[in-house]
Amino acid sequence: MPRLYCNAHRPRRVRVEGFSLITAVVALLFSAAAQAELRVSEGWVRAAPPVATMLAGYGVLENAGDTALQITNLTSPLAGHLMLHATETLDDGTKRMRHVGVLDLAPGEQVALAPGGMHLMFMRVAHVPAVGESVPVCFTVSTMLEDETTEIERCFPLTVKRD
Amino acid sequence: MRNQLLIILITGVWLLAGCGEPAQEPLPVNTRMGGEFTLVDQDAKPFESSQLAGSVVLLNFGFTSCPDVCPAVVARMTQAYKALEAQGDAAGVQPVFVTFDPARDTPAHLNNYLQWFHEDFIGLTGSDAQIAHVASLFGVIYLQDGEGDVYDFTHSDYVYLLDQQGRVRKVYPADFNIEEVVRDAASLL
Repeated sequence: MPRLYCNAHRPRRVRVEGFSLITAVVALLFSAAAQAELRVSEGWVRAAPPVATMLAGYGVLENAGDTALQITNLTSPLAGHLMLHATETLDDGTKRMRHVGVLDLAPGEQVALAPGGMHLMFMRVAHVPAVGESVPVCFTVSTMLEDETTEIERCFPLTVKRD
Repeated sequence: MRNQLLIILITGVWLLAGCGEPAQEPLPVNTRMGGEFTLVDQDAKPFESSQLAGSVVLLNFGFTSCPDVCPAVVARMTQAYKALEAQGDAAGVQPVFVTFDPARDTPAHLNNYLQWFHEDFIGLTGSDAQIAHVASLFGVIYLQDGEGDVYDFTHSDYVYLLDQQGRVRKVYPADFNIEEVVRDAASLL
């Protein structure tokens, strides 16, 4: 059963030098969650007609920590279902969408979600938000150290913008 | 001698004037695409392609449940059309969106969807056979992925510029340059 930490109570970073091996392992386990630091910048949701049934969101995801992380799930109060998708161009020039189940981010790595590429796909939207409205998006961030998997949820606001 | 100098001077001025604003080459006619079609418009009325005669047309195919590519293309078409409005050329230009998802994109839904972008948009749907026919005229590919209520399409996303006789004069990628489209459309007026 993965452990779940809320943002306000993330484990503190612990220095390990000079302690016993057990202490060091425990400290590393606790520090993993703290160092898996997901950041989202320039986040936005494409404004759409009130009758739109699907919405797309974009931004830059960055692993600002020094531990590899995975984004394993997405939620938003706006959508009944939120997924990470990638628009791919095939050899004949046609476009298709592919579901990205898990996104790996190495330490320091940035991945841009941009129109025509990888994007957040909001399905079963409760309402179509207006331009300027803020849409919360929560990412389940998973890190693994030794055999221990730690999950935390990080939420960021995305602003609705018109193309 | 004075006459020779005068001729050289006049020739130089003429050449310089010509270099300053090069005339745009006429856009070639694409003879492999286009043709007559019948569809259904956003008011649920039959729509003949002949109704577009006399207008320069910006044409795109897509579906409104598409969250990434399709709305971005329609938004760019809207930006191009607004730029044509700003320079007084929009009256001769008609933006048109054809859905290849008639099951979900009913006339009323198309109307509500497109009006949000611009009230001058024409939205077209039709029977599966009618849509397959018009798609074949423009080399549009659309393949349904999935079934039931949740499905998607693998599809092409080009934008077509048609002249006042309905002939295809240029085909643009989805991320077309707006200034280029505005310039090309204006050149056909």
